[in-house]
Amino acid sequence: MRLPPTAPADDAALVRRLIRGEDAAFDAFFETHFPRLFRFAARRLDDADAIEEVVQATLAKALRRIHTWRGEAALFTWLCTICRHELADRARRASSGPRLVALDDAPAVRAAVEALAVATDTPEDQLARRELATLVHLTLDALPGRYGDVLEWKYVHGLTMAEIAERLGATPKAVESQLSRARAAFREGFATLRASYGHE
Amino acid sequence: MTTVSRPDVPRAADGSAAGDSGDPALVEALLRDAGGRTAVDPDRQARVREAARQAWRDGLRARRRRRWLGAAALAAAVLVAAVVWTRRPATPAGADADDRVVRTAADERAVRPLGDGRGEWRLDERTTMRVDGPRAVALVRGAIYFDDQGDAGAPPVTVTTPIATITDLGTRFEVRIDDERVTIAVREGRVHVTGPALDRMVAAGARVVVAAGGAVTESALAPDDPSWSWTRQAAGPPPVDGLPLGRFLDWACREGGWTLEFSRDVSPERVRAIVLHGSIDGLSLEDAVTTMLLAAGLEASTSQGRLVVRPGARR
Repeated sequence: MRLPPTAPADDAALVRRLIRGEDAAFDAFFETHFPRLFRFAARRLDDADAIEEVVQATLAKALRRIHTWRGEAALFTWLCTICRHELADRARRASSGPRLVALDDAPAVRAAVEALAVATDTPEDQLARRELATLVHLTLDALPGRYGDVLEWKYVHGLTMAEIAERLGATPKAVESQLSRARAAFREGFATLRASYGHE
Repeated sequence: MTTVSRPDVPRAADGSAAGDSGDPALVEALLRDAGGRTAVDPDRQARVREAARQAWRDGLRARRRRRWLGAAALAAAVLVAAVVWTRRPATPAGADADDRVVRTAADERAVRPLGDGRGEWRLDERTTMRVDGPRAVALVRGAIYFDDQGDAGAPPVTVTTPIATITDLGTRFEVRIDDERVTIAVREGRVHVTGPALDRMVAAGARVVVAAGGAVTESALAPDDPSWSWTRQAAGPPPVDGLPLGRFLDWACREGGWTLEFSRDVSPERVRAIVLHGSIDGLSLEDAVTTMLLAAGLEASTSQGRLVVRPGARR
């Protein structure tokens, strides 16, 4: 899945703070990337313990060598690369263990895109809605920084600007601006994702 | 696939879908329809957070320690350099000052391209090699591996040792030396080994040991024998981002000593044309192959010198 470039400047600033040893930077890093990385692994493994193990190994490896991140890819992309290595390593070590569901998202995403073409509210439609939701969630997880969280807090959980601002430690005005950028990034990402699988 | 229409995607008045439109209301509708993403169990989150924080702190401590050691080493080097400079001989010479001599330390391997760029030498740990010409070296200590990089038309290379001289005839081979003997292992092609009472051709798949007294013993050594693994560790992995899968597999098979095969239900042309993204830094050869093939929906197995590529179990 290829989505628009993320915010390398934000990533670079976060990594510099991590290298300096700022506790607040670790918290920001973890809050931003852990849930997305967990879902990334969960789309590829069935077993919750295995997912936890892989994500923990990924984050531990990444944080031990955070100084080697060169900014050529977004931080989350870099984490996903390490996670893929961990998944491959796990698959190689335990061929009889928890099976890999898929390293590529194509089947799930294709199904989601196909769901866009279904008409009425039949049982198939309900399935299609779930698949469409998967496509939306994939897009949210691929957005830079906290964009996915901001959109979800605002439109799914119905938080006010002030409540989101409090969560992010920002001003409501800054959140408003971030929300606008997040919507734009979502639109572009969602459209790219659909187009990359042969639909519109 | 059943294709009828698209009612589930919220639409603007002009019929455009939420993912394409600039209307925030459509983005909102799409997100509300989709609902929230799966939340992670708080206990798991807490466990992973603590482990990740510990790893981060370990990394910080290790880097600070390395920086301190680096500074101490630099200070020591400056001191040693100053002492050496003040005590330098009138006419500095010898192997240490000879830029034709290449050495590797106990935990170090190296690659040195040939002067004409047609092939490369790979040096194992604790090796000393003297470059005598564009395609001639003398092995003083340790082990070297010559790789002609598939350039079959290149002129021969020569390795001189105190016990024997080895001339390649379009090949990849290793020469290892110690006080008592020299070992020549041929992975591809063949080499000509000569000495005071020795004149012998050694072909691929053979390892010959020549003792200081001239006695020769020969045994078999497969191209994918684990004893070759140091040679690819010396060379390191190639950059794979943007590389066609076919070229990656060619490299992997060359370094692994395998013959590449495809199962019947795989189109070699299509597989070879897949473009890779990412990095294989830090991965073993086997892990690198597994990772790259998994990303392409494929898998592979190795057996009897063959790497067989087949569709992944989930495709």
